[in-house]
Amino acid sequence: MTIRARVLVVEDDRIVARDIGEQLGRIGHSVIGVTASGEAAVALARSSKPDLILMDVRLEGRIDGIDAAREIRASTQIPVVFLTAYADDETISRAGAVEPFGYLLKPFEDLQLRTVIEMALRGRRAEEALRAAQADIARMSRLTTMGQLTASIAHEVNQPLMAVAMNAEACMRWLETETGNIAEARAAAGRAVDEAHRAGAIIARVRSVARNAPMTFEALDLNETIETTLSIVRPELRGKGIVLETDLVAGRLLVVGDGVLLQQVIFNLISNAADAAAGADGTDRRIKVASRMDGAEHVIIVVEDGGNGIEPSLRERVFDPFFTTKDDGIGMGLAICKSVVTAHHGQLWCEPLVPQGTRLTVRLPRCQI
Amino acid sequence: MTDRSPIIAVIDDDKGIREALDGMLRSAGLSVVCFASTQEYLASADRHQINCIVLDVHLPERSGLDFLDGIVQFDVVTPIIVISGFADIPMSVRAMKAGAVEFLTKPVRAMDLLAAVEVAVARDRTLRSARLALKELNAHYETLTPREREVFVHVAAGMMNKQIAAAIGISEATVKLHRGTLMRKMAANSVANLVRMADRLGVDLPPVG
Repeated sequence: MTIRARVLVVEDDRIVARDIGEQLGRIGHSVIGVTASGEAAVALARSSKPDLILMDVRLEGRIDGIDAAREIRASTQIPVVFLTAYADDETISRAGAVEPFGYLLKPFEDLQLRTVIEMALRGRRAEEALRAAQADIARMSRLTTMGQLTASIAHEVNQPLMAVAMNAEACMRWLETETGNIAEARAAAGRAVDEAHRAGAIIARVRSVARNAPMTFEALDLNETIETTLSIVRPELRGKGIVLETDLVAGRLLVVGDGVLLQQVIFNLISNAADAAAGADGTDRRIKVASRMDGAEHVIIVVEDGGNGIEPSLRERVFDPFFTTKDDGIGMGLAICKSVVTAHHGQLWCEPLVPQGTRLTVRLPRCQI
Repeated sequence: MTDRSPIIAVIDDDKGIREALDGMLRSAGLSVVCFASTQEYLASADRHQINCIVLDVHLPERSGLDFLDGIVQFDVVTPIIVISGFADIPMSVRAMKAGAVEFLTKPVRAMDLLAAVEVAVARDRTLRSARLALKELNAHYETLTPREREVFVHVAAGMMNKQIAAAIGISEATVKLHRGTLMRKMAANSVANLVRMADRLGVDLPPVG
């Protein structure tokens, strides 16, 4: 039943380290490395990919066990269990912030070690399952978004297609006349070519959204992502008679993330805001999209509508899967947004506006490159 | 399409479509003026010379259909052809009710558009001559003296000279005199003709009795 786990032991007391190694052997796990320093632990965790790390809190060198654990958790999914002789409040609260998979208070018995490792491995499996589910949701979201985009794309592609046909017909007419008007015919043919390229550019943009790729994180300009999304939703907004107001911070707004997924988040938020604005009683149909810095470490995107707002009792539930206030909604939009934003180490929240309306805020860590 | 080529206004916010429509309509021998918005069109001083409007209902600021609903208010008497990317029935019904001559769905075929333009231009010609005739009629009516107008409405109501004389308190001979003058001034050749004129002028007729 118990899996044989490959364990990295980070302990600066050689004797204690050796004892732990023996204990692990007795309960059926193997030690794949022992180190006394936090820096070495980070490097080893990345290179040898252990199933579990037993980490002493107090270590020699520049960084202690908690700092090392934070770095390891930031770049890998390896569970960390803290070993400590100190149980003071400050240490526990610092260690807790790293979200460890368990604590062991030294000295400990075989049974305690076995139980903590068992729990940590189980926690790791749960985390993996969650991550897989999130990836599924992201893929589904891509398909859902495609569906919503179809109408808008159809309209956008229709425009240049019609222009191509009209220009081609004009070209033929200019050539058919008795005298023939070559200059006019050439101008019409030139316009047809331009419009065909315009249709091609729209298709290229759609293709980038449609590709069913795994999450790819890269540095990107959030303002650009917002602009691209706006160019897609503008015809829909116009069709609904909604005025779009934008207030994007000047310059680039760099974050590390999956551009397609973030575009979907923005798309969903705008689409929701548009629905809310369209259903508002007695106000102008207006939505606002803004971006700005939040301190030096974060960036913020805000989407506001002047709709009827969300009932206070429902405000907590809007991010729940399958919760919807729309007759034709499936209730996945905001749930997907939340999971995508969370996967980007960000926050998404919702608040009422005065006198009426709703503001959705996305806060993401800024790219520090 | 006798003396000069009809003038078609194209109102579309999409530059590509606007230019394509412009080129196509000109290739068919029509004169074209383009506008990026309904506001731009309404602000144009020569808009009364336009014979037909081709309107895209996906316009910013004021949606095309709102514009259609407001044509009376804005005194737009020019026939309108609506083109739209969305072919839903409620929208086409609304467009036709608001006075559109034709509702075409994108992508629009040049042939269909030209056929619709021909219908619209013909309607514009009819409307223009009707407006002109009414204007002339009004001008004639303006030349009548108050007494002649009084006799006019009584004649139009179908009363005999004797009855009219009694109703307005003048002699029958005077009624006859006024009647002759007003028939000449109105260029009416029969009482039936005069009745139709009264109808088109919208003058109130006195009760007969």
